[in-house]
This record gives sequence, C-alpha cells and structure tokens, in this order.
Amino acid sequence: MKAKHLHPAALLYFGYHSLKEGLVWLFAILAFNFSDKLTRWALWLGLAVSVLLVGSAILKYLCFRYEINEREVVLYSGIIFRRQTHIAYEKIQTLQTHQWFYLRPFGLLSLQIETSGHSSDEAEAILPVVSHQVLAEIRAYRDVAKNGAPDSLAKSAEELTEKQAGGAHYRIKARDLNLYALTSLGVVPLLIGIWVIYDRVTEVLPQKYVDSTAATLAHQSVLFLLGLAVFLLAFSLLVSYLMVVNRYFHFEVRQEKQQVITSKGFLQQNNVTASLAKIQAVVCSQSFLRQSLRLATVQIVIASKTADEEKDDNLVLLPVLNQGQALSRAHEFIDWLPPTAQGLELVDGRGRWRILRNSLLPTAIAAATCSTFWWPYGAWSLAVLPLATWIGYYAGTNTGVGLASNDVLLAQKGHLLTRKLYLIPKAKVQSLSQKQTPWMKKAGLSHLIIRVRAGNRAERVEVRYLPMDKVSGIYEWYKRGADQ
Amino acid sequence: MQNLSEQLPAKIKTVWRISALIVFVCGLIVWAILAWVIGHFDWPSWLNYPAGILVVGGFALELTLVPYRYRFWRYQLTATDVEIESGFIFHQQTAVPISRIQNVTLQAGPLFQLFGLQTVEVETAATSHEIAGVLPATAEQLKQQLMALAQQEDLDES
Repeated sequence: MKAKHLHPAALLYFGYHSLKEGLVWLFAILAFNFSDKLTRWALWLGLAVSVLLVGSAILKYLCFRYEINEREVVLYSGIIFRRQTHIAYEKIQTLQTHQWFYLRPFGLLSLQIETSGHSSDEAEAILPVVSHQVLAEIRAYRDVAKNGAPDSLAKSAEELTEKQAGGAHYRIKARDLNLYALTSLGVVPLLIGIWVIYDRVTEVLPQKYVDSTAATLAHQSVLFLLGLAVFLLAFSLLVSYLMVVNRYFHFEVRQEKQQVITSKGFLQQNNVTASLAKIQAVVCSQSFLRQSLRLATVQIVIASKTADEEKDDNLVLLPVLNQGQALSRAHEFIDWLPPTAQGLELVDGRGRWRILRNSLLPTAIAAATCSTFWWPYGAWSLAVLPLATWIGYYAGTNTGVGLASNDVLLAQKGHLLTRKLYLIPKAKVQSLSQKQTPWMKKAGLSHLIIRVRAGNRAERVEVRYLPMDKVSGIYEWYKRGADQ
Repeated sequence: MQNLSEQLPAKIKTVWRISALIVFVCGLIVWAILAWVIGHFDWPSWLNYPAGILVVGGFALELTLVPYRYRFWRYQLTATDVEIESGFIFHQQTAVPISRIQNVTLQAGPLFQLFGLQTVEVETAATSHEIAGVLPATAEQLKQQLMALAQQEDLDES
C-alpha cells in the first residue's frame, strides 16, 4: 500500500493544535498592549502570527502520511526534520481510539498505537483523524501477526473458540455509574486545579486589576465571602461528578481473542484494546469512602501509556463493583487471576505499631516545632495529629502480602486512606527485594519491594514491616521458579 | 536473609578511599572560596563552621564507612538469577531473574580504569541494578553468562 494522507478533517485537528501553541504568542502581543488601544504594529504582528499558524497547520497535514502493510504501520511526519516511525504488529501493546461526538456521524476517530518502548511519554503513533476501516485493517493484520507467532499464554484451539463464543462481558449500570461518580474524590485535584489557574491568572494579569478585584472582595460582607466559598465547592463537586459521568458513560468491557476491549465516554468515546498476555498486574483499589460503601475498582497495569486521566497509567477494567464480587468478576476476563484474595496475610501487631509510629512521629515533631516557635497560633498544627493517626492506623490495618497460588503474588497497601491490592503474576515481577534494618532484624520484621513495569516507568510496590519468615519465603518462591 | 557468596575485589576499598579524597579536596576548595567570600563581602563569619564540619566530617565518615560498605556489599550469580546485597543499616537483598534481564552494560570511569575494575549494570523492563566494581574477567564472565541465558528466553514475552 502506498502512503496515504489523513482524512481532510485532520486539518482541523492540526489547526487546533497550532492555535493552542500560537495562543501564547497572540496573548503576549495583546498583553503588551493592555493599557493602550491596539496599535497598528500589534495588529500586523497578530495577523502575521495567525497566517503562520494556519500555514504550519496545512504544512503539517501535508507532511503527515501513513502506510499500512502486512508487516508494520509506518508513519511519516515532520516539516523540517523528517521522521519515519515503524511499528511491527507483534510489538503493539494497546490500540486506543478517541472519538469526539461531532466526528461520530462521519465515522472518523483518532487512533493511538502504543508499544512498550519507553523513550517518551507520548504514544508511539497517533493517527489523529482516520476512518473506521483503518482501525479494522490494523486489527486484522495484528490478529494474523499474533496468531502466527507462538504465544505461551495461548490456549488450545478449542478453548480459544469457546472463549470467543462466550467471552466475558460487563456493562456498567446507571446506578453504579452514579455511585462511582459520587464517591470519586476527584474534587480534591479539581480544587487544586482552580487554585493553580487563579495563581497563573494573577501572575499574567496586570497588578492593578488584581488589586482592584481584591479591594472589591474585601468590602463584601463575611456572609457573601462564605457564600462564595460554598458556591465554589458545590460547583467543583458538580463539575467533578459530571466529569466522571462523562468519562465512564456507557462503560463496557468484553473479552475477545485473548484481548480485553473497554469502551467508555459520552462526549468523547474512548476505546482501548489490550492484549491479555501483556497485562503486568491487576490492582483492586478502594478509597476509604468506597471501602465504607463496600465498593471496589479493578484496574489493569499495562506496559504502555494508556493515558487514563483519572488514575495514573492504569486501565480501568471494572469501575465499580461490590467488593466481594470484584475479583470474581475480573477473573472472568483474566484467567490467571484468583477469584478471591485468599492467601493474603495482614501484618501483625508489631508491624501495625511501627507503621502507625512512622506516620505519627514526624507529624508530631513538626507540630511540636510549629507550636513552640509560633506560639500560640502554631498550636493549630496539632489538629493534624488525629489525621496522621488515622492515616497511620489505616495503613497498618491494610498492609499485607501473600501467595494466591504458585504463580500469583498478592500485595496490599493502605497509602493515604486508599487501599490497593496488587495481584501480580510471577512472570511479570521484574525484580524483588527484601530489606531490613538491624532493629527490624531483632524484631523479626522485613520490608518486601516488588518492581513491575507500569506504563512507561517502573512501579515499585513496597510493603513494609512484614514478618521476616513470610518475606524470605516469598523471596525464595520468586527465585525458585523464576525461570518458568 | 543469608549472606551471598561473592565479595567485591579488595582493591575497591582503595578506589572508594580515593574518590572520598577527591570529594574532600573539592569540598576544601569550595570551603576556601566560601571563606574568601565571607571575608570579602562581610557575610556572618560563623558560616565557616558548619561548612568546615560538613567537609571534614563528611570525609571522616566516608573513610570510616569504607570497611563496612565493603563487608556488606555482596553479589551472587546462579544459573537462574543475579542477587545483589548491600547496606548495614538498610540491609537490602535483591533478586533479578536472568529471564527478566533485557540488557547488560559494562562501564568503567577513569578511577575504575586505573584500577582495572568494571561496573556491571543489568536492566529489566522496569528497573536497572548495578554491581559496582568487579574485575574485568569477572565482568566478562558475568556478561557472557547473562547473555547466554537471556538468549534462551523469549524476549518478546515481557
């Protein structure tokens, strides 16, 4: 096949990106003229920048071509520095599509191809606007490439067809989505986001506007200010709720040909295809809020960036389920996953106490220092002590490790009031460490450090203050069967 | 934790002492510059003391820790994995199965070259681990063994 250009609608995509880059310049030109009327040279400069932006968008479109043949996908891009990216089908970790609602009638979507190369944070290849056929074509080629190559995890042919016929399927219910959105703690980053934007705006705006706004606010009554704060909080909560609903709208996951395929999204539909054999680990997580409602989320860790904005790099497999069902449902999609967390052993009293101490002691010292040096107002810092106690106690009661079977390692942590249970197949543990201080040796305790590949980086799971014999048992287990 | 079998070559201690000395000399130079600045620009003169303690104390500590570091730094290579052990206060032992190793790098800085030592770095899909300072013959053997074993594995799996 000869190299093709993208769909002409991609011009809009490149135009939008040029505009985003160019906006800074236009804004800078404007900022220089903030006090005066627009002078003539500023107008000309603005016009020149605009022409440049449109021109570069068109050039980028013309220089961007792609080619799909039996062996690989090839991308040609770059105006001055020509780039050629070759991606062999066997190396594809995930295929991801994004489809904005306005492109749906035209059957166009944006396609992202990811491999496990970790040179950059971006996907290896992005085809911004292509038709459904292109996706189907790449999928078909990839299936051929995969089935041709020997796959150690592939089952016998009968089993495979059986899987295809009755492949596991899950679709979120409206009630569950609602619950998921309500219990998401997304409002915290959102509030921080608002604060950051406020900070940026005050930096960019001339000082006199900031001052006059501050003066206007200072003249308002306390009631008004309080109302404003409540309004801001309520607004953030609403936005965070709508954002989650938008992102996980019609969430659906199904298993097909040794792959899991998730699709979700209202305004922008997102579709991810990940090969089961490429799954590095499964994480079952619950914030304290969801834990109290007995809800759990199951995510899968893949060795490529799946760009899920809410939760780091992990791909959400099952957003919200009753915690008793979470693993058994996930087991339907992923064969090696144990249906329960049986085998997990929580740390004992010695470990719990040390974890609590480690959380409480630094906080107590900091609070005491604050109170002494800034008496009496510094004493307010003592208020964080109950929080530190809670965090430490929570971490202590939720830490543990275990072996679910001869092939799957369980590790659980309770960091910052969120419980995370990692289920990691032995073959995907990249390295394992045991660590202890002389004092821990005396008490018979040891840390366990598990390293797995997650996204474009290494995820280090450190489970602390475990019984020493338990840790060395796992260490020996890992060494023993490492070659299998 | 059981101690691993192999120790680093004894001359690594000399290399550590020399590098501590180099750091010390650099520290002394920085301290001298600081002293001059303090005199010249009327900075508070007590600043000299913490700087001095940092430079001299750091050097003394580094020298005292050399035998300990040497004692607790161990490694071991078996048919299936590489193990690395280090630290007294934070005693850590790491196992890297050879089937997870993606590549092996040998390197030597000027000091290491002078003493005929080499660093072996093994890299997995997630992390890299270092055996700092082995004899070239050992390094070569390590590399050969790692590569031979790694070649038997299907590298496309990870």
